[in-house]
Amino acid sequence: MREWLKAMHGEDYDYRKMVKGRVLLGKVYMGLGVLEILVMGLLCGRSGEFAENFYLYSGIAIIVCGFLIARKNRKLLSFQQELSKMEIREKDERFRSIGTRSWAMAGYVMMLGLYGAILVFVAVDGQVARTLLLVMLAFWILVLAFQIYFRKTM
Amino acid sequence: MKTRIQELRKQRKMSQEELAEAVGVTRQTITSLECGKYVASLPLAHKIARFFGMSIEEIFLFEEEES
Repeated sequence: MREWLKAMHGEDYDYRKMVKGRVLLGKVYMGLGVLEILVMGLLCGRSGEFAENFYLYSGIAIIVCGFLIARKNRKLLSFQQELSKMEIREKDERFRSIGTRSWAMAGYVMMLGLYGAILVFVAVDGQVARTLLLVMLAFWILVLAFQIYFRKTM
Repeated sequence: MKTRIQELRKQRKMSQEELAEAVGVTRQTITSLECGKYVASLPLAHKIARFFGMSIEEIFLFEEEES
């Protein structure tokens, strides 16, 4: 977590520790996937087919993703040359800039799409429109919060 | 931004991969720098300048905008 925060601040970080953290993250994802499937089991018959199928299949997907993340990063720790190559790639400033800009652009486009969807759903289904509005509000609160945080720390 | 990176690299008979490894970036970044598509940060510009034993201004050609 500490290494990830250092990376967010553009500071140099211990890549090996970051990769070890990702192995742990993979295991956490697997645990969450199992939890989802357990929730599905508890809800069995009570919440409808869509909810049960969602929990089941997304749970399986998260378990598989978690397993692949943990395995990939554990393998990386065993091969120093590969680890060094990946470290250069991930710490490469152009690579990081591309990642940051991609997230930013996706956020802008998503907000426009969300606004369009709200305009449509206000007329079609009020509940969906309110949910989308809350999502938009939450997003802007997060953007503001991170702006305040980074203005103080940078 | 124009740079002399390609010229200096070829003078030293180095590949993009070798230069990338020497300054700690990917080959794609060196390619983008040489094409002028990407502008290096100050730390990276400093690393490249130090590698070639020259000043930043001698490698990165900053063109003043005419007012």
